Amino acid sequence: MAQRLPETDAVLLGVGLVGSILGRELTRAGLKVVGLERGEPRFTVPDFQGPQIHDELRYAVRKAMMQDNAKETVTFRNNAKQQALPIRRWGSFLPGTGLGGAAVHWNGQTFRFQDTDFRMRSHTTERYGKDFIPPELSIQDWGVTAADMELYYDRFEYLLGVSGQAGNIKGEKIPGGNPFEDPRSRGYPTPPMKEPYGSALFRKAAGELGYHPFPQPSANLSQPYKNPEGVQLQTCMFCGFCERFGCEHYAKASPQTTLLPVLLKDPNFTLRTGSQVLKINLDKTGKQATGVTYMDAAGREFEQPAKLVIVGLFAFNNVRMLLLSGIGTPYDPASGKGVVGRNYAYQTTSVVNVFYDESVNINPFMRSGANGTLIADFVSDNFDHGALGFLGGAFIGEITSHGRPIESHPVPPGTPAWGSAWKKAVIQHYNHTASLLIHGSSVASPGNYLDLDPTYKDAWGLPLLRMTFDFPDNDLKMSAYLTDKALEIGKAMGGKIVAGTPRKGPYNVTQYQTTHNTGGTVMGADPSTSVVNPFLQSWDVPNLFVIGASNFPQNASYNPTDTVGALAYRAADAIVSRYLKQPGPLMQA
Amino acid sequence: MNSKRWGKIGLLGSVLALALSGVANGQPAPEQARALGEQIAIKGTAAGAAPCASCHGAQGEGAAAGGFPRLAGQPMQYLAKQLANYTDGSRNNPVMGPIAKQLTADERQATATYYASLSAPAGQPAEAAAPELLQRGELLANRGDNERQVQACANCHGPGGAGEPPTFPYLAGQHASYTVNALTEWQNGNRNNDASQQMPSIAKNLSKDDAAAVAAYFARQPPPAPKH
Repeated sequence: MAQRLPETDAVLLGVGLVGSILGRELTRAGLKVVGLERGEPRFTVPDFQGPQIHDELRYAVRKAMMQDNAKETVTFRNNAKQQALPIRRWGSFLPGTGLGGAAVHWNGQTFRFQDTDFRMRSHTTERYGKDFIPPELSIQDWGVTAADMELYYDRFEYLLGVSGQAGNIKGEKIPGGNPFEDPRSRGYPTPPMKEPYGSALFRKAAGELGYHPFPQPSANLSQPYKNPEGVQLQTCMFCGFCERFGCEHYAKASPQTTLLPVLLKDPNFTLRTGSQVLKINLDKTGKQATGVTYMDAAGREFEQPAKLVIVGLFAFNNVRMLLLSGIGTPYDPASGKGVVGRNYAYQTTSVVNVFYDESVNINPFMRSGANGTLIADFVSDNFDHGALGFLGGAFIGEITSHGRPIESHPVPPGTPAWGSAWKKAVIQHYNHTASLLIHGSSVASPGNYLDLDPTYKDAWGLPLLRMTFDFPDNDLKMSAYLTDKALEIGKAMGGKIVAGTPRKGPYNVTQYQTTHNTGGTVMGADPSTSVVNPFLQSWDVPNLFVIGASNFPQNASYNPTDTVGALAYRAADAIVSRYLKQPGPLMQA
Repeated sequence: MNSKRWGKIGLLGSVLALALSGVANGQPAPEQARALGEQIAIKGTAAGAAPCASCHGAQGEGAAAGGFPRLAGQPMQYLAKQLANYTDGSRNNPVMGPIAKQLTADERQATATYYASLSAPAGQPAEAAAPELLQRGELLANRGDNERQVQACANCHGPGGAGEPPTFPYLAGQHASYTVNALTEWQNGNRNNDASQQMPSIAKNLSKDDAAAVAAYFARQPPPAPKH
């Protein structure tokens, strides 16, 4: 029997990026907020300090910062004809856990999505005609525009202190920045990071081919920065242990280095770690959330009543929480009806390696999570898709984040996979190889979705989430076209051997690609194709907000975190400025 | 035929002469540099630079009483950078500034090369330190303090403060008086030669007691052997 606790104004499910932002904004508005975090509390000191934080085996290979998949995992299949099986060791993606969430172990790549992403269906129809989007793709608009998002992107980037070069301030193009970006109201808070040598080779070659290289916007900072919360961040030291690790230098923006020092001191905020939320409770009408039920680390069950419920779990756990709580209509791929779990999408990536001879020293160990140089010429709809037969795009960049000894040993095709010839090739090429990433979009299609697994359960006896996903042909075509473009750039960079293959199906869940799992609680203006309205408020339960990359109707070319942060600030603004004054739906269905 | 042969020998001769003069690629060769550095360290220079050894000791062991740092076995690149920074104003020190300015770039390089090659026995800490102070120093050195937003010294200066050549000096075995002075210079801006600006931030976040604690702790750790 759950012990009933005193009611609070708002309860946060998860205290990661979304939870920290909402916690701060709601306590600032005077609300009493309880944050429930399933994982451990952790801080720059002592948890992320050297030398232990540079334990590649522990953090990168054994994935110490990730959701414990012995307790709670995802089952996977490529299509509905297969039997889904539990992922017992994370591979393709790495969901984080613990205070600060995945924003502790992220790389810090901080891109804005474009207006053409937010209006993908309407923009594509306007430019290419109404028959251009194939009927098998469930592409849709977000219900917001880049102009709606600008204020919130700005707010989030100034919270983090992002280091970058603006390409467009209020419509004025700025040389050296990304010429394809939508207007921003002001420049980045800090200047771009220093450019590594491999990135400089890329910049030169891409520029000579007529493209528009620019420095990657980075939440690993180029200089010390005090954010509007009064929290000080430090300079990135290019240690090469960024993604999958916490930052020892206070240099990577994370909840720990931007918000938590303020939030945790707020008397209106209560953090409870080791708290596994089992479900969101509803009243008898099913239209009002009454709070949540959770279990603490000692196995005691509690009911935490709350007037407002904020779901800010990892993207696919947002979907699972709604399904476990019976909120919204689950998506049914057979009929195409229902919305929860619909439009799960991912990211379509590939790599091109540029092998130099021993006269070119790349020093791949001297890198940072979000350093380097890229082009946006093939992002989104920045190029003419008319004759190409696919939608979407990718950035191409030399943005290597590390040269760590266990994981990083590029060798040319044809090298034996083990033995003395392999070792010799690793030694020969380790310091003389630049890698280009082709980081591409992922369209939504009716066969890719999330639901509850009928067989497998977690450590608390609840059904696991089941992922059904394979790469749509559209994305494989996109990858083939843009991997070719990257091969051309690699050749122009002067590589002796330039090698890379486009992404190919079927999707392999054991091979690391990205942790950009999106969709399932999609936002939109139409309740028949979305779970939340454009303010991320549940259509079914108005005192429930669901926030995260699960809101993306389909995934864009860039990394998702900037958009997640901006969406969180936008939702917080809507709650504080409108919802709290008059609780109820912010939009009529 | 003969003249051709002579031509070859002549070329060889000039290469040889270049090597003997200790200049290759515009930089003194290490052995020559070390010898020149030793000479400067012991005798000073004709231009008037005082011998380093008069303050930093015969083996580069430094002197706690005057706050003169140990130099023995510090990374060559680190020492050379400090000497250059004493001349360019990014490290202002009334004693070292004038001396460094009396050295040529080659002489600074030579002096750094010499001291990097030395090893010196650990000195005895000049002053007694309370156990609480040493505990606080150990904590700051190896773990940091989240409340003060101070990371562990070990992140950059290596486990045990043994240094991370070529950039980061060792702190282990360094005289506490010097370490406190150095932290003070970071705090007051007299030292501003860290491009990352990590050190000014860290030093400013340390209290006076914290600076004394971390200095006292490192003074009691064994200095590392020279790394090459």
